Amino acid sequence: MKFPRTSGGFYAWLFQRLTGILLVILLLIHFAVTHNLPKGGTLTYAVVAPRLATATWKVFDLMFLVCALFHGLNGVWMVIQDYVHSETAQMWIYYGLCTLGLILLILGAITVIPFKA
Amino acid sequence: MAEYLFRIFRYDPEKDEGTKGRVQEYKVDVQEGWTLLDVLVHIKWFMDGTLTFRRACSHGICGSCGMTINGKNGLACETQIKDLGTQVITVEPLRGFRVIKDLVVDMEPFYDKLYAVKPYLITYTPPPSDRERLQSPEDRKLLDGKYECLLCGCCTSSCPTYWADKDFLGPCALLKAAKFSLDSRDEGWAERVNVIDDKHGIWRCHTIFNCVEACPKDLNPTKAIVELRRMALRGRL
Amino acid sequence: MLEKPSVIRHYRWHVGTIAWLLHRITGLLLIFYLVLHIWVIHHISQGPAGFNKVMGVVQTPIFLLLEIGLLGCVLYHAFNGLRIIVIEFSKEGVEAHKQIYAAMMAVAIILFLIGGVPMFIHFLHALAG
Repeated sequence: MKFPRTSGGFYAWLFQRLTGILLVILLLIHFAVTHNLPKGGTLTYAVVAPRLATATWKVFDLMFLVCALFHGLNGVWMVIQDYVHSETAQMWIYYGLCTLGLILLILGAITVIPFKA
Repeated sequence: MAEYLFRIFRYDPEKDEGTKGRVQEYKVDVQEGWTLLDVLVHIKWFMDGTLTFRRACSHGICGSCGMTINGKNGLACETQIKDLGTQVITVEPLRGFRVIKDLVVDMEPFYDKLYAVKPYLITYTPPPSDRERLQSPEDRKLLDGKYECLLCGCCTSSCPTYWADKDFLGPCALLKAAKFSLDSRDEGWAERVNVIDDKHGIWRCHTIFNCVEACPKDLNPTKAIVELRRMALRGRL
Repeated sequence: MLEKPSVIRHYRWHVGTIAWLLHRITGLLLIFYLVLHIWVIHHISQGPAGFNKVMGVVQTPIFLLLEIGLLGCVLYHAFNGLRIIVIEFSKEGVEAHKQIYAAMMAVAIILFLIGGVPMFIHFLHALAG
């Protein structure tokens, strides 16, 4: 069974790099703000909740979610393409990864968007 | 003169069919200045006539004697025994290709990838009637580090990505593609990009740099792939 | 005809091999973490009690130690990723890939120490109760 891929790996390559750069920036902010590094400390509801309820952080976290999911699953897809050669197996894994990504995206979005402290 | 131990991979399709091959050891008195090819020739002529390997020019230009020497690809004729720095020397056929016999591998899939990228000058405008197509010295300089390739297969055979994905065009074919794509006289980019802008083409490379380490002519196939990616990116945007 | 199995450890390693292998390994570990992270943080919608309960579990000493490893994975993957981007988009990057690797790893190690040392002290405190 053939399944159509039109970009030939170009968009996978390009967006892996773009989301990669974005993730580095987002992560540095995440470590500094959420985890209060280099000082550190215990994370409780009282510490995190007020910040997560603001619109700015909702946008930040949604961007984080989308970039991380795309970058991670696209990375797995690249590794799969190296080692799995059957078109049928590739197709099932591809749709499997898409489904997993969608579930995690929804799970993340229903955590972030409606949140009130 | 110094005695070295050579551990050479042996596989005879008539006797060893179904096995993973075997290793045969030869003790050889190596004379000053001998290359690995000299040693192999010495073994074949004076010790064991059944040892099979490819050779032609013995001067690093024909690209026939590519093999894995102490775990790294190179040309036997350009490898000085003294420079290897070990008393025990392991010699294996190029990996990633099927072994026909001993150190001889089936290069057919490698050539197929090469033909796929159209490794020749493609032109649509007719040449000047009174002379050949001219190229400025600056444009000619762009091809340095691209045209010297011998097609020995050392790079493609060293590539972990090629080991995993046998449909990957591989560093050698992509270096050739870059050589012709960067040529100021070539007009075949539109045809060539269809082949290389593919999940088994330029985007498959994971910049591991084994090809650069392996190339006996010190060429840089990774650089060629990166240049092709930039050309494809410019073309797409 | 026989095909010799191409086993990575049977071929000579160099900076590029190590960079690539670690990039894959850390990348695959990070995707597992991402799934776990999304699931754990989802508990915040259950209010303070539910969130503090699950956060209590993931802030036990063993998790605090694993988190230092996580920081290492993230920093390695991030800075080797930046190395790949520099290699692909700079003029002389391909030739200088080993030097770029050294520079990126130096930055990653410094950041690892800046972040990791307080995390380790925190771990020791948690261990002491």
